[in-house]
Amino acid sequence: MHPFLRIIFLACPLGAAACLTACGDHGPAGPPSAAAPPAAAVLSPELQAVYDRSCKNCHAVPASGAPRAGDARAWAPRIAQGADILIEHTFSGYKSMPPLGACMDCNEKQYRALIEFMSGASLKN
Amino acid sequence: MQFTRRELIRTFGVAGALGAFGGLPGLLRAADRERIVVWRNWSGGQSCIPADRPAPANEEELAALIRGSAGRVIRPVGSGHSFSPLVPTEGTIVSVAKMSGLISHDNASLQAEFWAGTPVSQMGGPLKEIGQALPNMADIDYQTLAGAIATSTHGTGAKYGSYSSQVVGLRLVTAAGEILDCDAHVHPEVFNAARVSLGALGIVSRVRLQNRNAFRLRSKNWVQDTEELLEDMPRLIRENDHFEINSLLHSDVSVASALNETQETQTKPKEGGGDADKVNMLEGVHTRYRNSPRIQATLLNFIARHLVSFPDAVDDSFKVFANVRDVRFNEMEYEVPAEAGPACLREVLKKIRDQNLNSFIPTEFRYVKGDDIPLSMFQGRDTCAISVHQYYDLDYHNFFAQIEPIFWKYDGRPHWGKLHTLNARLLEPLYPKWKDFLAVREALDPGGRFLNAHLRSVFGVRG
Repeated sequence: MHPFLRIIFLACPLGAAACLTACGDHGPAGPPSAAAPPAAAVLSPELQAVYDRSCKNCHAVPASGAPRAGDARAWAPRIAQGADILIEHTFSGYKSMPPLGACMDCNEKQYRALIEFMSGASLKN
Repeated sequence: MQFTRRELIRTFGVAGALGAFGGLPGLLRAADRERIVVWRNWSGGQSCIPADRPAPANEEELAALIRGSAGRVIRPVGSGHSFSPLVPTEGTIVSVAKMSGLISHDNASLQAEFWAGTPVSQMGGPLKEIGQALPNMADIDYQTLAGAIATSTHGTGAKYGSYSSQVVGLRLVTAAGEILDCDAHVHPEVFNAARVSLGALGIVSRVRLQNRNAFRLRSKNWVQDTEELLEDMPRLIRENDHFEINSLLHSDVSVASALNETQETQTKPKEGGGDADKVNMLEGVHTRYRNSPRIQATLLNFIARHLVSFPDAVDDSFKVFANVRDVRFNEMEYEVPAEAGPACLREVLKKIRDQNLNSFIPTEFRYVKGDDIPLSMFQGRDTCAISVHQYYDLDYHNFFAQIEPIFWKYDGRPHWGKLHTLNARLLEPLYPKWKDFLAVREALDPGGRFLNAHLRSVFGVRG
């Protein structure tokens, strides 16, 4: 639990549980890895540019709530949901994740490649 | 050779394509099952299904694209961070994302030219390497440079204008597919209008900015009674380079932020991560105690004053200005005359509290220096910018509908990139140089190729 939230929890005698109803839920997540391993895949120069200008703003920022690129453990429960759900969340946005992953011109194939790059996993369907 | 679904249908016709690939399932397999992409903005509040979403790699491709799509509405998009419907179209959404980076710079004048698609988040580093910095920045840096100047995006600081006020030259690709350079001496009327254009004059491909020497900032944040801060506002904005307050709704307190230039070399980086934890706490308290307003206020006052810390930071300016915003929301912002700011904020906060309106994201209260740009919200007057927000997953209509008339009462102008309900009839009286802009727009795009339904309403142009 974030130290700030721990304080809030203690400070809410009238409804501690209610104080935390929506806290810190950015989708299913495993505990973050101490050090993010390098991603398994390599991006084309074009997709690397997309990653740098869009994905990186959150997926390379510690504690942003987004699973970090290369952190296979954080990505595992997301990957387990299947490609269809991940793509839908990418298209429509999901909680902190903005629609289209902030890439205004990407197509589905490119989104799949970017997810595979960041997760280090292969999307099955 | 691979075909997209669109190409298959165009090549063989629907029936031919279905027959050739064994019915719809076969067709979908052959086309890699690519789904329809609905374009949505950052908050998810605006959406459309455009005919296509190209991203030209250079100005020649951009000009050819415009020339080759006659009869179709074209809307440029930056990072999609505008809350108002500036982008949605059934025509073409053109991204300038591939035109990104520093083009050139001049050490003597401290000017630098960037490709218009450069994200503001990727400008600070390259500028530092050449000894320059943006004089002021907004509190987020997700926008592209083109999107930021199209909507007169701004930070805070009574002595500082918006990003648009720092533009000293730009290149525009027009509705005729022509490339037009403009500045204060070359096509000055176009230049003036294009510094805040809502993307209605053409597509900006490059921007030259007046910068300053690189500098460092110290940020100091504290919690204080809102009324005390408003009483002391003249001193606070005079004595700080950049000052703003974020008022906690349904409470008596605000978080004050003062950013000042410093010579300190010891870096104290900002806290990592975004503001989701703090906003989620506000949501939790509001959800649980909304029907007990006194308890809600007491709890929020206590938590903010005694349990939350906001550490100081010292770093390069661009690292201190920008924040991670990992909670999505919709936003309405109006720009009122600077001297009217405190009274207007008092009324907004009172309305929210008296009506117990369902929102929990703090208001934002900032100052911006006046400028001379026809369509700028800051044209001709120093300004106080007041923003209200609604969590992206909550309906904003009822909330904003009760606040917007307060802004009208104080002679407010709506932020172009944020939600408002004004049309041309109501906007024209707010802008002394309104007709100057319309004349330039009509001359550059008589067919209205860069106008979607929203902009036709804003400019009073019939479809």
